[in-house]
Amino acid sequence: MGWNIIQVKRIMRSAVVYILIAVFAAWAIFPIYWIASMSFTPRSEIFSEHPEFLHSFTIENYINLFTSARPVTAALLNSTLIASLTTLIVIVIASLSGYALARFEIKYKNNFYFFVFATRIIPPAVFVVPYYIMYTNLKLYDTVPGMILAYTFINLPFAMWLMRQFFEEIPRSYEEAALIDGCSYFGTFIRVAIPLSLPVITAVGIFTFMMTWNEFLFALILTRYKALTYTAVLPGFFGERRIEWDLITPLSTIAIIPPIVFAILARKYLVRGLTAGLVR
Amino acid sequence: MKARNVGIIMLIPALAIMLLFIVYPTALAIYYSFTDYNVVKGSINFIGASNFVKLLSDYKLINSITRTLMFMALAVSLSMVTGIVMAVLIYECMLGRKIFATLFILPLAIPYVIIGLAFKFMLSYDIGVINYFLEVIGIGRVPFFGKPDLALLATALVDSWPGSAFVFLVTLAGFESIPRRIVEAALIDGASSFRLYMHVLFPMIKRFLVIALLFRLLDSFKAFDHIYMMTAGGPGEATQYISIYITKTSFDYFNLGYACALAIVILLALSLLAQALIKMLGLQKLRTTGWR
Repeated sequence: MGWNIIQVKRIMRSAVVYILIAVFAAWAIFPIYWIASMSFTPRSEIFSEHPEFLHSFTIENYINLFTSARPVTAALLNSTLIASLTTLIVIVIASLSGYALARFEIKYKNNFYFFVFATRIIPPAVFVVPYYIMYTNLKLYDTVPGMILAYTFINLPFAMWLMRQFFEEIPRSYEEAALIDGCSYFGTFIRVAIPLSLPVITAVGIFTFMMTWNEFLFALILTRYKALTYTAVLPGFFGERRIEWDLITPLSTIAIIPPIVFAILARKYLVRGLTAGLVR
Repeated sequence: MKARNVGIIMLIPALAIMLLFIVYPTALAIYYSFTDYNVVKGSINFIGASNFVKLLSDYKLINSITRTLMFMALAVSLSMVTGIVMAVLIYECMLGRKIFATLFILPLAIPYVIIGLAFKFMLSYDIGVINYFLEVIGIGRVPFFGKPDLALLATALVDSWPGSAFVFLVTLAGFESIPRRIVEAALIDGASSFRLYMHVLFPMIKRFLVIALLFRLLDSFKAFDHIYMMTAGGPGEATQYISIYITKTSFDYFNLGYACALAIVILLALSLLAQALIKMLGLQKLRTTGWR
């Protein structure tokens, strides 16, 4: 009677797996949980040396955040606007150019690979000075269209790559059927290729939105008052004598909601985006 | 209309943006790198290649590169090991796979700025929860951002938080791309778990692991947002990795010309690296035939 050794081994193995999973899950979640939890903690407890895990619940931090002299609401609105418009523009341009590169015979296409790769390798910090000068010259500094343009540029290579990858894999027979029936080249693009590529377009959209929403360096460098995004506002909470964690935590909690929602809803699109057809 | 022309027209928006954001700034950078543009004084003189000469003997730059390499080694190895372990765990997991997998990749959704802020808060000497915990269990508080070595460790740890999630994602994708019947065949033939992983699964996902490693190296090289928030290069210059160093030099207003020279050199070096990597990974065979 009782369990034999094989079953015991199996149970122990499962136990180990689940315990470890719990540990890693805690590691993955804890910082997020902590920031969110602290945002609902009274100020005095945030700055104390003995953080309580069962602390009193309050929303005073959120109130203080929005009534502070900082342009928080404007920044959040800017972020939303900029991220949304950039996503739209990137989707349009990336589909057009991805399709063109996949279908038409155009010289110098191989430079394209190099270019996409290079943008992945080069630290954005390298571009900071020239972009600052360029933006000032072109009067794009601290403007929302300026930021949209910059983020479009940042996201375009990767988006083009994804779209091109996808279009290469659609058999040409669909479009050739349409062409034979008298459709124009552009027409087949609109009527055949686009409808087929909605999943990829979704992936590109999600990825672009998240990248733009999360971006920091260019927001810091290229904005001042009018085009601030929430990321550019964050360093402003580093005061002379102390850091205003009681205001940072609510802003952070609000700011991480969109990307987390996207990540949860669109998990498989993330996988596709991040592994980007580099592995077959 | 000729097919080729349609294609070219479709490419115009992308090309326009690329031109604007690559050609113009590079031209600007090249121009300014030969000057000693000083924003504060407003003076600008042509000084030939002396910025570039200065670069060669800039010990601060060399130190920064060394530090960056040490950081990269630490951050990448940490995240590779952790990520692979996580992938194995999920692959072995029967119940709740999807939920745990989603939890594991959550760090990837968080903006790096906020990651830096969160860990700066948690690892803070006086008000950080981690230090409180260390004190409670008897080890005592640790000044994570106060000592150079600890700061290196702490920043590497923080970089591996989203990094391991990425490695996990790629490795799991690799595992799941292996046809189930191969795994079953191995198990039927009596392979132990160890054998299964070492002789079947890992060899088959080599390509995935290479991709994970490569991108981890690239991302840790570029690390900026979270490092900037946590230490801004400190204490002293202990965490002044290459991105931070470039930014600091760029905004040292006595040195915009020098900053441009630095930018150009780094761009060239990385372009060569990109070429080499493309050749190594065999990526350049693009299909060039198509509609005319």
